[in-house]
Amino acid sequence: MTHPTTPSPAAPRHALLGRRLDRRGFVVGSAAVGLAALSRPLDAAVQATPAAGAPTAGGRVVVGMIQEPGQLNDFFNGQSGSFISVLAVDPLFIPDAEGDYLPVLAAEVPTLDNGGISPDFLTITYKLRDGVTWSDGEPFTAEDIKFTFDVYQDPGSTPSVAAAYDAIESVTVLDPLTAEVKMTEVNPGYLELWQNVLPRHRFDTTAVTIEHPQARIPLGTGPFVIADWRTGAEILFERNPNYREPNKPYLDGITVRITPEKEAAIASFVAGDLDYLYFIVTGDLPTLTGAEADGEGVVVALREGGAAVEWLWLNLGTAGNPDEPHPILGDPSVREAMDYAIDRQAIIDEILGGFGSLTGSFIFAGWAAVDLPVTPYDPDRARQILETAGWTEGDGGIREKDGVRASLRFQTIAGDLTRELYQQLIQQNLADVGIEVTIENVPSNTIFGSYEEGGLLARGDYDLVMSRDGYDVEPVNWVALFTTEQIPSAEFPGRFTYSFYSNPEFDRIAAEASSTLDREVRQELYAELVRIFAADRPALPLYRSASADAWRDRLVGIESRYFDPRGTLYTAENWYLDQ
Amino acid sequence: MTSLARPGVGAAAGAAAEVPAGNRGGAIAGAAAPRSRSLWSDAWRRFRRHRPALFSLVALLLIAVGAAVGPLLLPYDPERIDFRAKSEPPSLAHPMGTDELGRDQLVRVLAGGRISLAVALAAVGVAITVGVAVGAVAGYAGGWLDNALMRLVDVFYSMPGLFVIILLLTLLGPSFWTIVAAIGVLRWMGTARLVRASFLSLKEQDFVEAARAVGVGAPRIVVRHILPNALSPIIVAATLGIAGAILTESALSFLGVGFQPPTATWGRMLEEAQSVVVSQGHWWRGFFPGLMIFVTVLAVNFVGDGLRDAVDTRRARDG
Amino acid sequence: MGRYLIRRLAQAVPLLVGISILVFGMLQMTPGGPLARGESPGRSGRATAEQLQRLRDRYGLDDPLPVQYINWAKDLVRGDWGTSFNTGRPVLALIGERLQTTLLLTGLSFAATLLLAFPIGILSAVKQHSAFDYVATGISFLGIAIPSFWLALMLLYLFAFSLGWLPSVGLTDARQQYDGLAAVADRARHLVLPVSVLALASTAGLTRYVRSAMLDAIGQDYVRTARSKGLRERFVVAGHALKNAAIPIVTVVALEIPDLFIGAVITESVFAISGMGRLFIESANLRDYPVLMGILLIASVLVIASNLVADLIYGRLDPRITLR
Repeated sequence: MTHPTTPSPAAPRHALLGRRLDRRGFVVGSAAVGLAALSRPLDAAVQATPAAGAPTAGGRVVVGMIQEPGQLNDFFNGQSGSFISVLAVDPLFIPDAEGDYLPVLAAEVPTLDNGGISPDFLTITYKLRDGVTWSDGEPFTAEDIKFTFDVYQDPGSTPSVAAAYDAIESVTVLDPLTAEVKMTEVNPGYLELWQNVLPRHRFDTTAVTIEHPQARIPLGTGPFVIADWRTGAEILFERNPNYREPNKPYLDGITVRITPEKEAAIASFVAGDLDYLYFIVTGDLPTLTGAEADGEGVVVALREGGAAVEWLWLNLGTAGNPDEPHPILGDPSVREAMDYAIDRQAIIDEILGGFGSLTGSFIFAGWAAVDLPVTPYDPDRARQILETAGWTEGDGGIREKDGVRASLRFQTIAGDLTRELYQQLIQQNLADVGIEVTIENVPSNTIFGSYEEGGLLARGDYDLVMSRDGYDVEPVNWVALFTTEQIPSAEFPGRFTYSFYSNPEFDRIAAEASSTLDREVRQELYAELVRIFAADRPALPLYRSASADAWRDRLVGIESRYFDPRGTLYTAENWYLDQ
Repeated sequence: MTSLARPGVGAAAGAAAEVPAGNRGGAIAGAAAPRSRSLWSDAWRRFRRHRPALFSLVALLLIAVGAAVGPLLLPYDPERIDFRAKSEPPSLAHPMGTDELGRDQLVRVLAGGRISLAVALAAVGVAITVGVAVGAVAGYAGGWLDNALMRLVDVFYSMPGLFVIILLLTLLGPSFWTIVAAIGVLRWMGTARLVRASFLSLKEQDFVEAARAVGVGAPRIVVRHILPNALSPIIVAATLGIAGAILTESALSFLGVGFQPPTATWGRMLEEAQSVVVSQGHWWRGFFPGLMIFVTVLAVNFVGDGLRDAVDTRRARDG
Repeated sequence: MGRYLIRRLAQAVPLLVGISILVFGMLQMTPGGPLARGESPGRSGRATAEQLQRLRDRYGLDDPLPVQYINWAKDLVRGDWGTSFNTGRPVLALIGERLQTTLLLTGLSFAATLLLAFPIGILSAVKQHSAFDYVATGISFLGIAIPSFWLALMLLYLFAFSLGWLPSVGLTDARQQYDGLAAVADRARHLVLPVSVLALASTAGLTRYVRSAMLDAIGQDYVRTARSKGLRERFVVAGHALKNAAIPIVTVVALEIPDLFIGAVITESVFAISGMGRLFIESANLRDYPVLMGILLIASVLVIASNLVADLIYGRLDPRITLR
């Protein structure tokens, strides 16, 4: 089962989709009926949705939620799942489908040309949109921006936000609609700031912890207001009467229904109990597109080439010591052989129902994306590499070298059944070339716990870990994840180069790329990094997730013009029910 | 959830049920005469009269033999992936269908039976060993040691068992022995009480007194004279315990804190089946592994019932 | 009796302390902890070291373990169960919300168990060896052996997937806002499968127990003399027998409650119901230990209390037993 031709990630979207459908048609055989109706790409969905006639006002929509967050305010929420709060909380900027930022609460995107960025890159001036009020009617001003930073800085606060805040030196209010932000160093994440501005008038101190009511239910400026949250049951969003666009939103409200089992949520959506799902990843797509093809009144908008890649993390050190190479994975030949041994196309075709795509580049999304084909599936070559490197077959077909058996632990988050399916495929792929892996899945917090908590990654207490990771638009933090400087230790427990990978050349280029905001310069440097990464293999990309939104066809006006997975939710002001 | 890890009414309904502060076990054991050939052949005669029990014993033997040799005879590997046979409903080639990795469900059910049964036997082994040891020491020694040990039994009875097992396995990570230990450690208390009660009534009896009078040491008295006479309630409790252990193991796997892939156990197969049964209608994925649990537990319960009737002379007289 | 009660309660305290120390230690000494931030450390939302350190300080996670434990226990004694790491909300409020759901589920199942098990068990005993007895005994044997999650899965397949008669998840209809009777009907539609599954096993067990306790009572000599006089008399006799049989039965019923409650964890998992069992599993995965400790404490108290109640009833109803 070789797949010699694997299109590059940068191939045009229709080409990717065509390939997927062909392959799917091939795999499913005669079930090709209705394929045209299957999951159209986003642009098609966008064109298809606006129905004839004016939008009708009124009505409620039920949105399914799978993972209930701890807090709805992303400024304080460490766990994922608070996506839904974008219905009520606007950011200053959102990346569009190409990864370029667009202003929302900002009047414009700061650039060198419009003077928003100073020539030394160290001062950013944010201009705010005029006439915006909080949903309680109070004006939204630069004071709120400053207050948000004050909260971040207060040692008595417990924020959980982008690392980009760390580089802020000061915030000055120039006028009610202008905030000047000085950075301590060049801060490529300057457009990731201010995703959740805090309403100053709702606080009496800058020491704000996650126990604060605003951490649980934030006040925002968006089309809806969070009216009630009944834990374990539902979150009620009501129409914002003070919304900046007079007739919007069209809907009276949105009920977010919490259904803790994902499969149950999808089943209940297909049965018609839910109107909208936004949390769909690759493994769930076959069920949904199946329902779409069966004429269940379901629309599935597919987003190929998402912002996350499924990774196989390889531990290059021993028990957290980068200077002592891992007895097996420290050998670059073993890593190379593993790369050739894994049948990635089979993961996509046989387990993910044809959804997802392949990439060999660790910088794969947004403006910085670098095109690099993935390593092909070639078990013979893998065996040959191992043989040449001195790993010869021992007991039970498991290879050995200098008395070390090629036997590894393989861990991922327990309970993710789709993942466990391809985990077993990888296990078999590796066994076929003589590398034994034992699956020992554990809860998320055991793998990703902090250094102090003895987290497996942070302590270097693992061999192989599989997790989904990446970046949205700005790759600077993602790249830092592979630098020597960020290797965690007892002295610096908060660092996060969990592969314990160390390459001075990589470090040097990464530092250079984050010392400028000039995109062209950075693009070239990142291309260089991608080549080094692909040769050193501190982690192996498995596949790039496809994500999707799905909704009942009675719901219209949904667009997905934004980059990140919550993209469609940003357009909720335009949603209405087709009567 | 009567059937789950419970000491009371569930699998052990009837004579072995623990009524707090009660002494049913003692009553049973007290009625048992000293061990003799005729007792066991009598018991076997009575057991054979219990049709469902006899039938169940045969069924259990078949399941055990199937699990032991089935995977060797079938042309499939329980763990080898074959995408050409993905998600097939039952057919002649695959009587129980296949899963989404194309693995034959029959061979997985049989291979899974090995593990499910092994876990159950091992867990009951742990429970019986601990229970007999604690019960024997408490019953024979009496006094403060008895008191302390019985308080320990109370402590374990007061733990919300399933919650503690889930937490243990979440934190320590599941493996054959952690699962066995987790199940076993929360199931020994019933045996301990039974054994203690037997000892309390037996140690005053003539033949024990006689042994003591001729200078036989305590350990020897316990092992050679008292334990054999306390055996019948232990055997019954152990048999019924196996049913509970099978259910507990499968429930844990079902909740995702049981065995790791690609290992098949009945509960693990049910967990894997959960979503495809409900969202895609692949009923065969859930039906067969669950049926195996059901049939096995049912059979074990019948055998346990039959055994109890067979060794419990008081009941046999009344019946 | 009073002294007995006090002694038992006094025993319960070290018990609870022991359990809580055990759990506390286990939570802290195994790898992983409450501050892990999702599975994508590379994403920009990752909290920085400084942010994590503030949370560690706030929750005193760097204090020595005994100090942390004592602080937790001190707060508990004052009625403060702590704050959930995941949600920042008081543990008691969090548990309270989920408890309602679980209590509804287990309460209905318990009621169903009592309403079914007593009549069936008594009738079975009175008409021993009748067709009814055989059928009832047979069904209860099956009910004890059937794995509840398998039954649940197969019922979901049949009624939700194949026939589409009943909803597969949750406790209310997501779209409709019902009032009055319609709301009750909606609840009932959602509850019928979970309650049936949860009630079946306990009904089966209790039926068998009621039957055998009744048979024991009927079988006693003074009852046996009246036995041959015909069916009607046998019912009269059954009345007397029930009084004797009540002792063991009531104790078993008391012991049933925590089992139902803890067993709901599985039912909640199959039917995607956000009750306490699910909260426990979620919290175990997130290492949200104030919540875990809270749930374990409540469950332990429930177990201890039901044991105690069972023993008290046993002592009260059976004059042969003296409680010391």
